Amino acid sequence: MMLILMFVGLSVALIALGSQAYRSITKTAEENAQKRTSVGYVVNRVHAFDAKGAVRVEEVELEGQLTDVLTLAEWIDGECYETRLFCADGSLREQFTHAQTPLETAYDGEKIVELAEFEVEIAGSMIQVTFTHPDGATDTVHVALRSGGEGQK
Amino acid sequence: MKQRFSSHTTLIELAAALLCFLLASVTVLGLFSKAYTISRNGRLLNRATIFAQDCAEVVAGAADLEEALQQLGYEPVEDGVWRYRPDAELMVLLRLNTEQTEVGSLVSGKISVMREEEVLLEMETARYNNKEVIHS
Amino acid sequence: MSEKGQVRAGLGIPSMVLVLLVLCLAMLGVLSLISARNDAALAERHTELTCRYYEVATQAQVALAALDQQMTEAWQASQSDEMYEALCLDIASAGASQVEWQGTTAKLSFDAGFDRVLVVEVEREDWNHAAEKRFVVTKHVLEDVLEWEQTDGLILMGV
Repeated sequence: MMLILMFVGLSVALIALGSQAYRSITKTAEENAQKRTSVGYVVNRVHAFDAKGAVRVEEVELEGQLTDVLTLAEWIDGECYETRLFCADGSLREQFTHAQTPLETAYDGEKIVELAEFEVEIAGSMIQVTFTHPDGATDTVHVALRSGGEGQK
Repeated sequence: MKQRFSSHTTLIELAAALLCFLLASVTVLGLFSKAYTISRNGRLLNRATIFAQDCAEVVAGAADLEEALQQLGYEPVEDGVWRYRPDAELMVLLRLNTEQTEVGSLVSGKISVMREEEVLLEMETARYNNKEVIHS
Repeated sequence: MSEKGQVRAGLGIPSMVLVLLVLCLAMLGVLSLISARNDAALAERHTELTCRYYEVATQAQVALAALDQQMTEAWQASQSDEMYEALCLDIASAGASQVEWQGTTAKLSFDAGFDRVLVVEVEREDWNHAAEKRFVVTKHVLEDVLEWEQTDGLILMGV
């Protein structure tokens, strides 16, 4: 009886070990996807809007906190529209709207990927973006504005 | 005779079951091991891409390239070659080449991200700066 | 005989547990492998896309260098802005790229693969300022070639 119980107990432990290994591997895959998406998405968005005066960085108050917003402008049918990237409520968010519409709340944007913090600085023709991921790791990347420098509102 | 035959059968079955179990265990361990290796390689490739991309952007846009590279942690190795070790596993090698023309200079770079001796990825980058010229 | 029966029963239950155990572990192993391979495939594709972008961005810079050389020669051969403009409009290619002129704007396109194109636009400086620089890059944009097309959707529940 004892042997049977021991056997069953060890079997359960082995299953637990196997599921732990599975969880660890899928967690790594999820973290990879999150980092790749957050960095790649922002960099590619800037590459898609790199025109003279189209890119600028603003600080907007959202939910009582000053938040960095990366603003990418484009003209459609004579009207100026903006794509705004910012981090709020634990996610990287994007809002596409008319330039006259202000960004008021965190939920004005669509959630792109989970992100803890998003800091953007622009100096001349170089943007520096710092991502703080949910696991605490940070990535700092630079994006060059090949069309010149930052835009003015 | 019947009894002896029966006990042999049981032993054979036991041996066969144990063998199957061993084979299955080895297969399962192999699966997990392979999954872990692939997952780790994917993570490394992600990080390598981020470092290479960052380097390419700095070469393409920094006002003072040497200062910007040093701030990032790159150190000059030879003339036109810079090296950066973000951690114990990866190394980024940047080979710069400047081509001067009458009207400008074209700085081109080849970025290699390596793990030990293995090249994980290679990337190109370039920047053209024009010069003031005289009317002939 | 009953002794023999007891031994068989003793072997039966642990064998079943063992088989179930191995099946569960094998399933977990296969799921882990699938998850890891999917992630690795996405990482490889992302790297490929990124490397391809920088390859065409490099081609663009080489083309701009060639364009600058040609525009400088045009400027040095001209005595007025009109003459300079006419000579510039004759520049049809720079490096490996075709140059399309629209007034003072030149457009160069580069195939970035994966249904993307890198579009570079430069604004020509006038003849009096061409000594300092012949052009200013006004656009360096990665665009999608494909446009979204509406397809006939399914009509469900009359909606």
